Amino acid sequence: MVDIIPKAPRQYSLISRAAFVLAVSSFILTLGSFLILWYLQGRSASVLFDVEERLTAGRTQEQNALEANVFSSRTRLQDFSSLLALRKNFLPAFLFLETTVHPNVYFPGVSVNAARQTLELRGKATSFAVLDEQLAIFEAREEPGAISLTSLRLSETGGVDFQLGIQFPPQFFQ
Amino acid sequence: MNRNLLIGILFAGAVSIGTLFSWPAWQDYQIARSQVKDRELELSNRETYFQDLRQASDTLEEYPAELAKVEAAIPDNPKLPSLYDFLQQEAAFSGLSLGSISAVIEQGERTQEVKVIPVTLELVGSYSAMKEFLSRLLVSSRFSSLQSLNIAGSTQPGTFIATVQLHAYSY
Repeated sequence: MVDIIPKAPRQYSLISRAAFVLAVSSFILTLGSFLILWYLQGRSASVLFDVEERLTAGRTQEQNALEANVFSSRTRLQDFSSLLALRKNFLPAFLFLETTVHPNVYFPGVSVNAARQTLELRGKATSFAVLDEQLAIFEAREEPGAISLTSLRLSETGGVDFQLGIQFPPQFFQ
Repeated sequence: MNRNLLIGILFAGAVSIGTLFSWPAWQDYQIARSQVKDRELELSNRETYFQDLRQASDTLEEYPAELAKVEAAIPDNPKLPSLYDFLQQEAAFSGLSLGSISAVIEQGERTQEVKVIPVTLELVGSYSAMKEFLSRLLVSSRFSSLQSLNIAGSTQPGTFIATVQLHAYSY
């Protein structure tokens, strides 16, 4: 049957229209967000693949050589620097002797030891009084940490034979 | 179609897509992004490391003379003949004669660690020559450090015999 009299378009309430718009918008929004996320995920996977490829490519020969060269130089410089800091200079011990030796004392034997920071002297003095003066001269100086007379006897050729140990602080030999 | 039914279907569809597809996709995307970030950071750290190395290398290249001196001071191998020659030359230039010389090289695995070469020298000469020898050692091209020194009088007046123990170094 043909409708001769056209029907009036159905009127929807405001709530119904609003609900419809909201439903369509939500549907489009969730579908759109899914599509955007799907695209972004694909892009992330591609970036990750690219970065992984660059990482697994590893180091070039030039980079290995550069690293070896720099590390070798660094080790050498560090070793040199630490050895230099530990190196002892014996000249202050001789300077000390030159400025403190008594005119009537003679040292036929001198030993310097860097590890113990000691100066061991084998000496001859013309008399006990001279040796006493020599000891007083040594003791008057600031440099020695400790002075010890380790041996003392009358010499066969006259005078006094003695042995003396002088302990210096570590910085004395720097 | 009934309008209310359509609204219901659209809402249900939106919720379904959201919970079944969009939310898991969002979580996966977050995981992928964090992985990318981590790997990019790793790559960036590696690039920074080599950039720093290149800078250090450039800085080192600015001091070729100093580096060569350090290399000569602590050579790559003991070079015993050249060490003996060096000590003989230093003694001769100081006015001392070399009585004897001996050194010990520890045999071991070749590493980057410094090897100590203990050397014992017997020198004959004057007191001032011995002092000169000691000062020359302090500024010489081959690095050495004195360990002990014994000086005793010799049969010739004015001359002494010195036994010097020192350490030379190599890799």
